[in-house]
Parts: sequence; structure tokens; C-alpha cells
Amino acid sequence: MRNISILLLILVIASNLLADEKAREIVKKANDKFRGKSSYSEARLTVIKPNWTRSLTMKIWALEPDYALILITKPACDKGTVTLKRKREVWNWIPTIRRLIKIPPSMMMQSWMGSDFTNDDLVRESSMVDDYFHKIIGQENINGYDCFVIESDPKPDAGVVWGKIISWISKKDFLFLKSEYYDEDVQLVKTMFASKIKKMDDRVIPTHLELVPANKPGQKTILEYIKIDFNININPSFFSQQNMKRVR
Amino acid sequence: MDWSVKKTIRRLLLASLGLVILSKSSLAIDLSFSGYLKYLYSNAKFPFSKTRFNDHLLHGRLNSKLYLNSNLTLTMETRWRTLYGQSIRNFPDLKDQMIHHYPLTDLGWKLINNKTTFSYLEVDRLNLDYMDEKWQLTVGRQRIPWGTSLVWNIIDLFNPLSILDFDYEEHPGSDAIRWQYFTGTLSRIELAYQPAKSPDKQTAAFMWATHSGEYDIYFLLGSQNKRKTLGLAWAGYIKDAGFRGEMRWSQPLYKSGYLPPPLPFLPSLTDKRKNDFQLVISGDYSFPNTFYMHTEILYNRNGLIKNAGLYQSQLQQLNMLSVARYSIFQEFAYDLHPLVRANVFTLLNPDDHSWLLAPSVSWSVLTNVDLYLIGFYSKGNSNSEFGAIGKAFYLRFKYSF
Repeated sequence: MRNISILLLILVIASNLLADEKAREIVKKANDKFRGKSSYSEARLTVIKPNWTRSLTMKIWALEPDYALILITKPACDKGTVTLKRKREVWNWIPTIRRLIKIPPSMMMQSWMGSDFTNDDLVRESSMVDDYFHKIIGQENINGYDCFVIESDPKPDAGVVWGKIISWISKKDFLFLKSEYYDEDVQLVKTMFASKIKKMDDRVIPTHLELVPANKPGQKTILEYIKIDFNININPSFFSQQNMKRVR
Repeated sequence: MDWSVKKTIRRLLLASLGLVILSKSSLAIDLSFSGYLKYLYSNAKFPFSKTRFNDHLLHGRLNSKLYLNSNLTLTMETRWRTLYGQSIRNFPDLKDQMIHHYPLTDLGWKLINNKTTFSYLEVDRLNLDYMDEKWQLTVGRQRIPWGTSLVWNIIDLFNPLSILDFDYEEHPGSDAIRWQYFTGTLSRIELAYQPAKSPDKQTAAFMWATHSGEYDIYFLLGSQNKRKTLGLAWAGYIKDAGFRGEMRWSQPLYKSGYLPPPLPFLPSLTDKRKNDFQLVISGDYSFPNTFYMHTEILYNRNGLIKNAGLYQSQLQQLNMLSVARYSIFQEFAYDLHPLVRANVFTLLNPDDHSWLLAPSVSWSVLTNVDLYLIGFYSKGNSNSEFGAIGKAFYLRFKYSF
């Protein structure tokens, strides 16, 4: 009898582990799909507030997970500003004054013009796949897509911002269609809705992301991808101080 | 306006028009334009005068880049300022102060020059740049910024500028030849030379930029106006805070051979015989709620502990950043609204106890339209470093294109 209960316990633990492994696999597939190993993208970020809106367009070169180079192409007052991220280090190139300024890590949590994205979101300081434990908590249909609902809880020593993330990932194509971000007190902070699923380069992905903060009616931030090339031929030497001044 | 000025302006306008037509035509000319138009209202009250001075400054900037091929770029940037008001009437010297003199040629033209109005057009960047995979050569009027600090860049041998000139964020250029060789993603060596007719205006330097841990490190060896100089700068982090600084040893000022007009009853800055040593330490930190703090300290071994205010003309003639032994800068900033940033900084001279307080607010009114309000309030006796600045406020409207 005792042996049977131990066996049952092992089976329960094993199935949980397997389920967790499956959840991690789903998150990883969705993450890899959306990011690729490397990418070049052109995107528009729009901040919508009850009384005003601002928008910014940019070109982004990325080599996951450590390297990113972002060039602002609009508006005119910020045009030509370049941000380089290499691991934890970040530099800004301000073309008007032709100066390279090293940005302290404390500045990475600031948002652009009060958008619901932080600098950290854009340059991806933390890893969605490895910094969290994942488990499947249900299945739901979002806009006609059958989705896994996955809860991700931060690993104890991961320096992450969120207390919990719940993601809706489509069973077909593994697309993040909705994500809810919770703070350390498990209060909902913002929700991401993904839509306009299109073929970009070699894959089908949502190209329109809306981040809607909780408890702030009339506000949201929209990130639209105009173009993405995945798995481009790029290596860490591209992410150099000299290239900050050359990209256009 | 005399005839030759008119001719030059007509030529410049025709050249610009030609470039615009070319860029719009089907010919594959790769040309980009940007710039801004600013209006600055200033209201100043100096301690030595009962009058309040009201002035209006219209300021335009046109930046153009012509990409001749994937390696070769021609850059031209022009700056046009028209000052109208009481200051021009009362301080005729102001006109000359608005002109930045370059050792070889000024490339500047007085468009209007009368009792109340002064209008000046200048080309402050004009260079040809060749970029290769591993190296880059830039010849002509350009900016060579090497400093890492945010207020005082003592290792910027080529284009130093005072923080109080807040309306010239681009800084003047230098007529120089600059060669950069990239030894890695975060490292390079550089050679720069600024020719001049007289040797005391020439500057040449070698710079080695490298990276270690999370630090950018710069070593500098050069000769500025005949004074040999050695510099070191760094930029990195202490935990999540920014930490940077600059250090520089140079031969004493008299070595340049240039002696500014002497001051009555006071020693000249060029009388010091000891080698000069300067140090800047700077740290900043941003809190998640956008509150930002920044502290910077400048130490000058040959600096003065009194009468710094009397040396302002020598300071300008010798292209120095400060004549004081110690200068302390403290800044706080906070976003009152995502589009409105409030900032306050203070400059303090701990020896003569004079200080300057400068609160400001910037507001992004519309995309590409900004309003900026800054006030200067200074306290100190008449010979002190900041005592003569008085009270002033400036309101600026800026449209970027």
C-alpha cells in the first residue's frame, strides 16, 4: 500500500514536471517565433492618452538575447538617436550634439513619453523563457484561435519586473495573442492584446500589439510592426559604438 | 549689407535650392535635411544695472547630409541667429561675442548690423567623411567630442563649451582632420589635428578608447595651443548608478605663448608656473518614478579661490571652462507629466560662496514643437564667480523639422 502511494506520488510529480516542461516548450516556441535568433524590424510606437497622442518610428536590429541597436527615424526632434545595448550596458548616441552617453542601468526602467513600454521592454533585459516557471492552467478561444493559457511565475533569484504573467498562446502557430502582467502583489498592471496576424518574412505573426494599462481608462500604447526580417546574418560585432553612428 | 555678403548669400541659397531640386528629381541623389526654428525671449537684470533687458532671438538651423556613395558623406550645417533688443543697444561688444571665431576662416556673414538688430549666418559644420569597415577619416569643420562627463568636459581639447550657453547644444565645430581606427566593437584609436596659421592655435592629439568590465576608458595624449597634455576619462556603473569622470594634466597656461590682456592690480591666469591638473567626477541615478539626480564636481589645481568673477574675459580668451579651484554642480529632474519635465540645477563655488540656481521646465506641446522656460538666479559678491550673472529668465519656442 505504502509502495503504491509512493508510486502514485512519483507519477503525480512526474506528470507535473512533464506538464511544466510542456508549458515551457510552448512559451519557448512562441518566444522564438516572435523574436527569432536575430531580426531586423521597422516599427511604430504610438502612445494614446485621453488628451494627447505621440508616435515614434524606429528601426531595430537584434541578436537574442544580449544585443540590440535601435535607431529612431521619427519624430524630427528625436530623429537619428541611437540606443545600443550589449548585455547590461547601454549607450545613447545623440546626433545633434554628436555625443555618446553611457546610460546607467537605473534609467532602463523609464518609459518613452509615458508609454506603457519601458526601455527594458524594448531592449529585453530579462528572458521570458528562462527567468520564469511555466504551467498550463487552461484552454480558451481568443478571436477564433484555440489557445493554451499559461501561468509564468518568476524564479526566486531572477531579477525580473513581474510577479506573474498569464499568456494566451495559440495552439496553431504558437502565437502570443494576449498576456496579462501582474506586479509582485499579484495586481494586474497591464494587458497586451495582439492582432493583425500577417505573414512577415518566413512566418505568420501578430503585427499589432496593444498594451493597455489596468485602471487607466482612455490610455494605451500600440506597437505596430511595419517590417520584420528574421534570422538575418548578423553577429555581435555589428553592435558596436561605430555602427551607432553609421546606421540609417 | 554689403555687396559681397549679398553675393555669398545668393550663392548659398542657389546651392541649397539646387540640392533640394536634385534630391527631388529622379537622379539618385541621396540627401537628407533636418533642423529647427527657435524663438527665444530673454529678460535679464544684472546686479550692476537698474535696467531690465528684454531681447528677442530668432534662431534657425539647417543640417544637410549628402551621401555621395556608401562610404563618402558630405555634411553641411548652418546656423542663423538674429538678435533684436535692448542688449544690442547697450552692449555693442555683444555682437562680437555672438561670432565664434575659427583659427582658419570664420565662414560667417553679418546679414543685419545696426543699433538694435544683429543677424549672423554661419556654417558650423562642413566636412567630408570617408568611412571604411575598419577606419574613418573626417576632414573639415566638425565636432570632436571626447568627454564623458555631462557638465564639464576637460578632455574635449577641440570644442569646450560652458553649460550656461544652453541654446547652443550642438557646440561650435573645429576645423580639423580626424582619423579613427576601430580596433573592436567598443575600442578605437584616434588621431586629430587642428591646423592654424600660428602654432599657438594648433591642437593635435592621440586618443585610445578601450573597454574593461563595464567601463569605457579613454586615454589622451596631445598638445593644445603648444601646451602638452595628458588625459584620462571613464564612463561606467556603480551598481545601477552612472559613474564617470575625466582627469587631465597639462603644462601651465603661459606655455601657449598667448598672453591675454592683463587685469589691473591682479595677476594674470597665465602667471601660474605650476603644471595644471584638473579632475571631474560625475554620478547620476534615475528612480523608477522618473526622479533623476546628478552630481558633478570639478577640481582645478591652479584654480582661484577668490575674485573668479573678474577673470571672465580671460576665461573666454583662454577657452577655459572654469577658473575656480572647485565647482560643484547638482541637478534634480522629474517628469511632472509624460510631456512636461521639470529640472533644477545649481552651480556652486565653495570658496567664494557664490552660486547660481537654474530651474527649468520643458514641455512637448505637439510632436516637434517644444516650449522651454529657464530662469537664472545668482547670489554672491561682485567679484565672485557667479555674483555678476544676476537674474534672468528665458522662454524658448522650438519647432523641429
